[in-house]
Amino acid sequence: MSAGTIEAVQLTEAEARAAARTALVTSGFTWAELVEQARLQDFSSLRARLTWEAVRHVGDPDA
Amino acid sequence: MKPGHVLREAGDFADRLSTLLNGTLCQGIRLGAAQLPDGSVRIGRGINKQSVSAQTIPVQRCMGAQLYLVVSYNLDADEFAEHLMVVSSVVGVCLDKHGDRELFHVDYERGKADGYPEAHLQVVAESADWGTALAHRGHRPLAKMHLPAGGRRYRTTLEDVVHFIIGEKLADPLPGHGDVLAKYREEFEERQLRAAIRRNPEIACEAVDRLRHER
Repeated sequence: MSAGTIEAVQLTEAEARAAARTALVTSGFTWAELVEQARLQDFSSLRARLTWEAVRHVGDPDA
Repeated sequence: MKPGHVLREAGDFADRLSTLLNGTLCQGIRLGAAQLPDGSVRIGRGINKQSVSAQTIPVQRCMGAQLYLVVSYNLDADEFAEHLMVVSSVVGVCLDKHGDRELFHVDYERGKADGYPEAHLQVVAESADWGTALAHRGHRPLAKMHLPAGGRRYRTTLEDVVHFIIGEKLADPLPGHGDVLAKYREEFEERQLRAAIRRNPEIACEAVDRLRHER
């Protein structure tokens, strides 16, 4: 799907989980670590905050 | 609001942000939009079928150190299922493309339940006075403080961060940047006003009635 000059795509459950898994591996954080940092509102870095932003609506990709 | 409509409107939103960036501080930036299985949409540079991570965006023509913008949004339909709304966002500035050398960021999280402001600014800096003020909290660094940044309707936006970079002469902006910023600011403020009216129609009607009587 295209909106203007932007690529807008729909992710399947499998695609979203794979993308979230990649985001976590690349960041060096685990899902559990980010859940805890979010609970405490105390992210260890901007990278952690951004990774949480990326994966929070997908959920634990390995659950 | 059907899922396809959410994605289309989110694509338009990403398009507007890209145009804002390319009209002020950047060149050739295209933000991506990806709808997740829960219906929400991720917006950011490099977001596509394979990635939900927002990459940083290099600022062109920096006048000092090379700056990178952080631009990450999560969108969804509002509670009326009629309009797109920002569920959360992170907009910031850092000195490296991985976001490890952060200067500051503005966080927005709708419905934040932990007592911190929905929109807040976190600055990675320190001073002796802040050290004194926060000593009783285990010398918690200033970077961990959630400084209020305008509330839901009048929160600090990407436009404000772009304006800050230009105003503080951290980068040489593109010609015509003032008109671009003004246009997108006006659009944001109008959207916020419409959203406020939708949620407070009695107050809006009362204000309009009063205006009518005053004229």
